[in-house]
Amino acid sequence: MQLNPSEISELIKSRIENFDNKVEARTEGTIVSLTDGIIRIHGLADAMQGEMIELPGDTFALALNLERDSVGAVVLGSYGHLTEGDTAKCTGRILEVPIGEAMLGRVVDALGMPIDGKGPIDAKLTAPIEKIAPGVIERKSVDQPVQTGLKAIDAMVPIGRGQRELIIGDRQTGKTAVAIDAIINQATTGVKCIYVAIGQKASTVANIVRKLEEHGAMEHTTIVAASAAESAAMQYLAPYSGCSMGEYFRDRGQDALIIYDDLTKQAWAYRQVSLLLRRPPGREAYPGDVFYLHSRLLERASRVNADYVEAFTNGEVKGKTGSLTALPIIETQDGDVSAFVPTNVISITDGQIFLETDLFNSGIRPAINAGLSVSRVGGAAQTNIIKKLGGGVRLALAQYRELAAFAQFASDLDDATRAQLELGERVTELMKQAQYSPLSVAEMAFSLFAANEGYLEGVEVKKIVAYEAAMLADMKSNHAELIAQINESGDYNDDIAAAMKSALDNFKANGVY
Amino acid sequence: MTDFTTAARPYANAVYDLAQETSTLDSWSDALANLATVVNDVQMSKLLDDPELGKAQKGELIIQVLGDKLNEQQQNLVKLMAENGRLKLMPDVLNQFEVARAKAENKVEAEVISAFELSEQQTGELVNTLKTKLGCEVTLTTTIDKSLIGGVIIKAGDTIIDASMKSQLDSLALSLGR
Repeated sequence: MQLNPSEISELIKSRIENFDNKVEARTEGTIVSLTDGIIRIHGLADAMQGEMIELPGDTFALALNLERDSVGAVVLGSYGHLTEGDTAKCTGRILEVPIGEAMLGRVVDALGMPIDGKGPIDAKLTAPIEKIAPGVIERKSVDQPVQTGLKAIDAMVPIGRGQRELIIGDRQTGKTAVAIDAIINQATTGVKCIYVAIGQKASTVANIVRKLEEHGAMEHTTIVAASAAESAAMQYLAPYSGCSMGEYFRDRGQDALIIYDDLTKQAWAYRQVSLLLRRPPGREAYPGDVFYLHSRLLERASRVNADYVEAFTNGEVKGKTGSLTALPIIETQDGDVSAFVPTNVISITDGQIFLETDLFNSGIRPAINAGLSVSRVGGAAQTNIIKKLGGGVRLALAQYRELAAFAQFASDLDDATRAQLELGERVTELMKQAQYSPLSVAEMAFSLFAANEGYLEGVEVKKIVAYEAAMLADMKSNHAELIAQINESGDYNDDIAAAMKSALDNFKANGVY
Repeated sequence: MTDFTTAARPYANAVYDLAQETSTLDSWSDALANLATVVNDVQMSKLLDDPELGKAQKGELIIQVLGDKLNEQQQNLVKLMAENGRLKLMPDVLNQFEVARAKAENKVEAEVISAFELSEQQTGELVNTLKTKLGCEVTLTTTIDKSLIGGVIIKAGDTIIDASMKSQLDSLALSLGR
């Protein structure tokens, strides 16, 4: 980048002209102890909970423990330059982050400061990171789908706009892959995305950014990164910052999707901060309010009604509902979903997608366990055609699993059972989907239709994936108007069924795979 | 420091209540100030840490040093604190006693740090303004610190009003550096 000297002088001039030199009475205290980023301040009798405290060297701390004679605060960022005896000043402000359209396409830290080297962010607004979730009156029930583009999810565990759907599984089971595919699929839906990376390797975050850029998904996405190298305080705060950025869209009648990757690490960071603040440890050494830590965060993901949006925007946006959909991720240890944090988050969310190592290793990707995965509200939001066609798939898989266990012992099976097993095998195969290749509603509908109507029967199990790819390619080239029609309306009726049938019959007769 | 404050609180409250009931605030104030000075003394501090001396002996030691400057009740306080092993809290007790006293008498001690010497008229105006702002009687002590370049810093308890040239230049430097 070329430096323009006059421009910089102008900038400095305007900054000096607009420099705010108000003199305010502020409360001041003294740092009496400094341990691992936790400071204890004597004085500051009127500090607020969650208030920002100014420290020397342009550093800030967050007041978390208000005690009789002292305030316990956690330093945001580096604390190497602080010493005992330094002064700490109240600012009278609660921690805020920049929000707005300008955040899209950017990578920021937990405080909303850009870390992608693309210069300052021109965000006009800021919002406090901790806000109370919308109340009962302001909400609307979930009835619009978030298409993830993954057959297995959209058909069996559909997600609605404003829903909280947990993605849970061991390490290396493709949790992040599911989330990233969901973001990529929003390029055409207008849903804005926020990806919050907590305690991940910086290289992983860089990879995700590159993948999103490759698939043209960065324009509608903000990445909030608190990598493993950053302080525990930043990792604890990142989800709240991301949530405030997502609420900007929700409150203005738009739809947003936020992914917390992952809340286990946030709970760890919070546990560290709490223990250093000497809060009493409870189960698994987590503090007593670790449930509230996640419940208050996930309550903010919601669908709000048009009245709320209208009131919020002072009448500028009328007749539009807003939503913030959350996909929190939890990493389990050796499939243990009854650990403290997983059970908490399972109980908070409206359903979960279980990913299993065994399935992943046997080549079923996404490795979704169809039996344990549920969506408690998504059914109402599912696209009509997927709802009609997806029911059969779910049933086939459920019966298949039951029979498969039996079939291991029985050498002689009757024809009905064998047919069930074969269909199950084929549907399992059909639910496989490569990464970074989300499907449209119509494409998904054709795959499901083929399974329901017995088109897979003549296909070898090993060739199902190839069959599907060839079939979808054929549909896209030869039946483009039908695809467009389904994608647009999402309806399912006899006419569409007949059209799909004839298209598939045609492929059966002439198709090669 | 925090723990000291907490431990000293009951002593300070008890002494203050007693002093108020017997209207001996000034006498107690002097006594506590003396005791705090003695306890803070380097030699005395060493003796108080000496494990070979008994608790009662340490109390007697302090009473001997101050001699007849302490009345019976004040001597009892020393004995009690010696028995509980809290003699080192004396400065904190003094501190809290004075805070409680100032609060009850609606007084505050303010410190003004200025770059140049303030005139009588200026300090008078400051006292009046602070009186209305803080809502209590203000006693002013002034110090001079040339490094402020200009302006003043007023400290009253926890509250700081920083109107110095130095701090404004500092914050300007920060805002330009961003």
